[in-house]
Amino acid sequence: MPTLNRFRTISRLLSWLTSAAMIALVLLALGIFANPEFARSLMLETAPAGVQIAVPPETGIVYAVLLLGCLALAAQLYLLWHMRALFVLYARGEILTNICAYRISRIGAGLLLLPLAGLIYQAGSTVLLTLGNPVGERALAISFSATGFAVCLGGALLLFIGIVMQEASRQAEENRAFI
Amino acid sequence: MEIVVRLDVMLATRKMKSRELADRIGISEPNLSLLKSGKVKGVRFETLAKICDVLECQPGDLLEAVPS
Repeated sequence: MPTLNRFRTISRLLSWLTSAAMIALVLLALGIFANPEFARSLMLETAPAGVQIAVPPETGIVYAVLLLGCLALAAQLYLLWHMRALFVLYARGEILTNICAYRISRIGAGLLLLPLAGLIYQAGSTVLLTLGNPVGERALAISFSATGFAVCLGGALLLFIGIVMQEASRQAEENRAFI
Repeated sequence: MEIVVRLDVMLATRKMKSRELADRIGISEPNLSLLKSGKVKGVRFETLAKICDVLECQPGDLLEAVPS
């Protein structure tokens, strides 16, 4: 019982942390949107290795890249939202319920989505940022890291664990209906 | 057809209270109440055997199939 109480306390703490992370991400995104100059310098600094940006991107391009970045942000927020919801359920003491299993499977889906969104962002942003380059020097960068692969595998695992847990909770529910 | 639980009849015949039966077969009184009212998906053979043992009856004395 003390272990469960500690688990609930830690879950409550983690739900606050994930909420704070979501707010911080949104505020950061809004801050970058409000400051296109900063966004432009950030894009030039963080351009993938080997990609030459001959002409600093225009404000329209900067906003287009930022909008593309919203895709990655949405994936992160989706993941954090379901994590937060799961921690809230754990903090309430709901552990082996159908809704917990659903949240776990959604976290898995979010983890699968995250590297994919990063991939799309990187490919799209390099195309947009090198649009001003002379013909023949425009670039399309696609990379997939070992970390991204590991995240995908972890996501797939969580997705399946969530599905299996949903089935287990359904059977437990059915079992409870038998006297 | 539907299955009707005749546990209340058997309890009345044996002059036994629900609480006593619940205690003797090791299930909670609310669960026994659900069983009496038929608001359960099913009865485990284990529970049925315990009830039959305590009430000295057959499963057929407790369950009845009636046209729905």
